[in-house]
Amino acid sequence: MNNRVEVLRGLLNYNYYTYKLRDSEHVPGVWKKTTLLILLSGMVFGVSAYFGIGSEYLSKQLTSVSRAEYEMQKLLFMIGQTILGLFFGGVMIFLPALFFWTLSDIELKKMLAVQLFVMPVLILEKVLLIPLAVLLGLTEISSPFSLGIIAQYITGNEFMIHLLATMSIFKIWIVFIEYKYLKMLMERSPKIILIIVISINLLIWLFAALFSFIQFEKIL
Amino acid sequence: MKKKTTILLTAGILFVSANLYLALKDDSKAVRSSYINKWATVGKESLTETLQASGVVTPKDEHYIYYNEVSGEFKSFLVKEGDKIDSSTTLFEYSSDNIDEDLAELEAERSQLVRESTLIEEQIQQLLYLQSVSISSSNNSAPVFGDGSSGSDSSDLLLVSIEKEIYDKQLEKSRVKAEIDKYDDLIDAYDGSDELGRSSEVAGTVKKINYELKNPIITIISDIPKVEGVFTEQDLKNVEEGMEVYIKSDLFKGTVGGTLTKIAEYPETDPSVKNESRYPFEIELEQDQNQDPIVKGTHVDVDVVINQVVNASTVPEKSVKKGKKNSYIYVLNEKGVVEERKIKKGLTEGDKVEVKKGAKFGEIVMKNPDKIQQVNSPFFNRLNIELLKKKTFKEEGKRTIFKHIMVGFFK
Repeated sequence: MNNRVEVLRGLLNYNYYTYKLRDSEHVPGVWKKTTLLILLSGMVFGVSAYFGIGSEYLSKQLTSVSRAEYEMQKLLFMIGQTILGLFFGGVMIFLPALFFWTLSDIELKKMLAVQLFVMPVLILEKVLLIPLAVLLGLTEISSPFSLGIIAQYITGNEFMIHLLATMSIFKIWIVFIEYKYLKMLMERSPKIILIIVISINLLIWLFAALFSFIQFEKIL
Repeated sequence: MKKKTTILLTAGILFVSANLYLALKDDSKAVRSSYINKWATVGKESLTETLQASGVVTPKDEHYIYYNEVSGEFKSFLVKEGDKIDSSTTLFEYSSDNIDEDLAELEAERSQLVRESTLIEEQIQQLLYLQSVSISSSNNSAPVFGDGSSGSDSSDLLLVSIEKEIYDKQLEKSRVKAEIDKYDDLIDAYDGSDELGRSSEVAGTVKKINYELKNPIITIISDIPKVEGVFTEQDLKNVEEGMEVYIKSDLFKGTVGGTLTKIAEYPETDPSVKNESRYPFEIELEQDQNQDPIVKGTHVDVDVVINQVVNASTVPEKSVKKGKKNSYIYVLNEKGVVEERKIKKGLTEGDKVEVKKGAKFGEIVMKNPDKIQQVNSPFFNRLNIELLKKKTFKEEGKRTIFKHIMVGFFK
């Protein structure tokens, strides 16, 4: 019986895979796939940064530094973003997995497998934002998948805008996936599962918002 | 389950569509960054506004050589059509035969007169002798007639007539002498006129020789070229004499400078209501030793400098966006924001536009204003790997590089 983690199949066909994940004793290929997804995340962040998405803070340098220095800063930004992508991949896989693992007696590998279905959704969102930024100028804060645009209409509060901008339909999808799998694996009441899932995600969103809200270029 | 998926998918699409509408509508409150990869720096250049015309290279001057038949009989031309000549080249010569004949005739006349003058001189001598003899005879042995008076009377009468004769002869002698002098002058004049050939006064090329000896018998064109052309009526109000001109042609490299020296005040043909009048002009070219020779008769493009601005702030023409009333440029300013600026346009030359007001030298402007997503919004651009230099990394120091990476990480 092939128990390999089939990322895309698990992502699109919950019913089939939830049972499969619950009933199998071993989940081979988790580490390999984890590594691959983390690398993919780093790569996508790197590509996005290559186009300069998110590097608006550097643009004011255009008038003050030499062209070579300006390009160097952009390259360093790209390196930083690639590292962020790897970090993001690791955090998004391990943090919720560890959190769920501490709240249950299920193998960590199975929890990691759940996050492996989550990760492609996050990467997809990041990929889709590249053409939107380049062609329509819609960067993260004005992503049409998130509440960011509406937030800019209703409030002037920068933090609120950033927080709502992190909440996107992809994030809802993630909550849905995690809820579905955990419900099957943990065999607890759906309400508690939902609270667990939402709380960990809310925590991540808050951190993400804080990250983009704080202008580190001014602090460092 | 399928129904549920459809509902969710529809909701998602609606949500995204609504967001897109809110973000992309004209006065959207959502911040949109512009992806800008091409920009230009406001330059400082001298711009010239020129007026195009066409012209043809012609020799600067034509010299005509006239032949005067009185000077002597024509013998032969010493140059051919197309010959290069300088100012001392003899162009043609007169026949000298006729002159010799004339001279011989004059010499003969003169010697005749000289002989005449000698004859008169002899006659005068004889008369003087006669006079002296008659005076002495009248004193010593005067013939005595009946009344004793008539004898002395007749000798007095003789003396008077001899005296008169001498006077007449002397008068004739001076007349002949004057005649001889005149012939001497004529002969001298012939000797002095050594003009058996006619030399050119200018350097140039023999353009035409009239072998039928109809004046002008030789036409010489100078080596210095000039340019001739015509202006239309519209051109006329923009040009004036003394303007700088540039000549271009496929036949020589670069441009040749010149000055508009003459604009005709009358059109080249009789004015007519139907046709547009055309006014001939002339251009004097600058002499440049290094310049390829400009072949006469070739057609050239003429650029008349009708307006010039030195050290103008210039932007590429593409970067200027024309509004209903004003023109705008988009400055990528030091705040990292795309700034819209109203400008006052000046001269245009090629793809450069002079900005009289609204841009300073060194400012960065967008090359393609259509790429702007939103005015007064940030912009970002792609990494240009080719422009990276190792040197900048070395100069920066590890600390700063780490700092930049950290900032990139936290974004």
